[in-house]
Amino acid sequence: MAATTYKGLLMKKYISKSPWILHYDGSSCNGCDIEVLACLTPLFDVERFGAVNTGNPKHADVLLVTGGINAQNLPVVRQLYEQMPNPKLVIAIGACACTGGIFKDCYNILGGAEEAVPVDYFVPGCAARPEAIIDGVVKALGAFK
Amino acid sequence: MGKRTVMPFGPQHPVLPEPIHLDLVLEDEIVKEAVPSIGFVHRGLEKLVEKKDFMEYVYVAERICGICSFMHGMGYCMAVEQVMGIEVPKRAVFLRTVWAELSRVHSHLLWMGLMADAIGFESLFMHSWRLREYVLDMFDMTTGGRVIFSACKIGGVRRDIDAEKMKRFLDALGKVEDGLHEIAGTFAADHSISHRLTGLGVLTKAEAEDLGALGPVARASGIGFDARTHGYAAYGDLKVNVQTEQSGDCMARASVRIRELYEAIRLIRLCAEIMPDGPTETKVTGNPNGESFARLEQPRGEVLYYVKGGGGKFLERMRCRTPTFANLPALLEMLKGAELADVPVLILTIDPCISCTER
Amino acid sequence: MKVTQEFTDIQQMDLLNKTLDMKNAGYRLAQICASRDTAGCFVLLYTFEKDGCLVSLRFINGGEPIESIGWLYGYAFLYENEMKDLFGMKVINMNMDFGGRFYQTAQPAPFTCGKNEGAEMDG
Repeated sequence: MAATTYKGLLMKKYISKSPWILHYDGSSCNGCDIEVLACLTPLFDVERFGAVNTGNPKHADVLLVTGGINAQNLPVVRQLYEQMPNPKLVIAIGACACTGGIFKDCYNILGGAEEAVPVDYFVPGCAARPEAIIDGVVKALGAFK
Repeated sequence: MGKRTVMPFGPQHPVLPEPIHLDLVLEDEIVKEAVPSIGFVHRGLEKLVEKKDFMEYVYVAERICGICSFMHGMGYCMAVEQVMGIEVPKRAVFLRTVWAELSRVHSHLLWMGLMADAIGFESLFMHSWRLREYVLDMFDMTTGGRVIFSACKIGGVRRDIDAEKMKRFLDALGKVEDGLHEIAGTFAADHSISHRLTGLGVLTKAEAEDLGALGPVARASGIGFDARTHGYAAYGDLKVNVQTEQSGDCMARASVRIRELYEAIRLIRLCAEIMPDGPTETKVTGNPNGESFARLEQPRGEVLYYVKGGGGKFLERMRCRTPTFANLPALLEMLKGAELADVPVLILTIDPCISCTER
Repeated sequence: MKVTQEFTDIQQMDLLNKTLDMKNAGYRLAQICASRDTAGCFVLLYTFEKDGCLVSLRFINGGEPIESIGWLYGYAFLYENEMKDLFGMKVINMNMDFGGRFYQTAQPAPFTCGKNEGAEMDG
């Protein structure tokens, strides 16, 4: 996020108008995942904010993590984060990604997304509603300006 | 014969919303073997019964999977009710059936969208999901939640649908059906879809039996197995028409699911018609002591719940055998000999639910 | 409506014979479930299904190796690998052995420990 050069500032400005979103399902129950996908579909249509869903971390500006982190997906989330170019944002979607949620006590859950990567914004809810997710993404984009 | 290469597939893949990892052994572009390794979504929630009491555990059971969330809650409740000998009021049973069938509509529409996305038919994906939003609005209207709504509890249901709301509910269902005609027509008749799906991933009846396939995967191969015909919940009062196909390819599985959508809509209307009046819950006293199985037909196939209680507040064991878990061998068999480019389509054809599988 | 279900207690050495009987009678394998009893032994439940009837074979295992039923039911490997990975049981002659890498958990055989945490909270 440390972009103080002219070019860096310009990049931030552009990205805030057209963030590319990468979604990764940690150990979520799918509830938040289908709500993230629902954001992209005609009713909620997050594309009106310029957001585009991408499957490639190297094209992505915003990482949406749903679900808690376990020992097996920890390196995956870290790797995805490292592959994303700067400046980048991470948003944790749903109770599980925020804290571990209902599965916090499970033996195979380390905790929320913060266990793996620095999280900039948290969207609570179980499952997080699309309105909340869009709100989170739009607020997070404010950080780019 | 080409050189053998091992290609990792997943866990993060543009087509799949969920993390599944397969090691594909390839010879040129042909898959020779697929080795799954699961555990990316493994939370170990079966063990959580030792920390959450049996009433509270309903919330955990609902979060085994966010797509068929209601049916997981319902299956767990049915198993505990059988152990405790609770007679659920008739109206509650019908309400459960309505929501369960609506979950099937939502899940199959979701699948249609994902399948269209996997074969690159973006507009059909959008249309399926647009239609699915009507279904979610119906959930929202009757239960207050979109995907996870905790309407089911041990001994009954939390919400009732009154006459006025039922009318609006059925109106919305009519809209869904109208939209479905359009999408299903496209899905069945579009040349590019049938070209892509026909003859792909053929599973014969004998193979399906040998591999223990369930749900639409088995029914598309000519096995007329549907747990609803055993008459749990209100299905004893409704006559379920089991949808089968004979060809066992991806198109047959799509066709089974599309016909199940119409069937589910018919069952919801029938339920609404013959639903008796009365209370929606019964008081639960005591703790479960004993063991029981419950099974029900989820959108992806039969789910089996095993619950064992020792007379305490905490259950001793809860086991949930989910349909995708049972369908994995069928998937691995289908992948053998497939083109690499068809792998995402073949994975989606069993309608995988990884969080169900790994729990 | 109740699912028709019956539980039969057997000895571990009879497992293959009984499974063969089930296979010959046209049953399909519905699930295999492992659990732990208070003495720390494994309780295994092999469930078979035919025409809506669930038949479960139950036996107690003290940690000795269990013969795989994979040659009768090809898809039993899923459950057997699960038993191995989550319960740390020994299953031999499996038709597809992931060698403990089917479920990759941070904690090996997580179901074997901390059995009575819930019971303490109960008291």
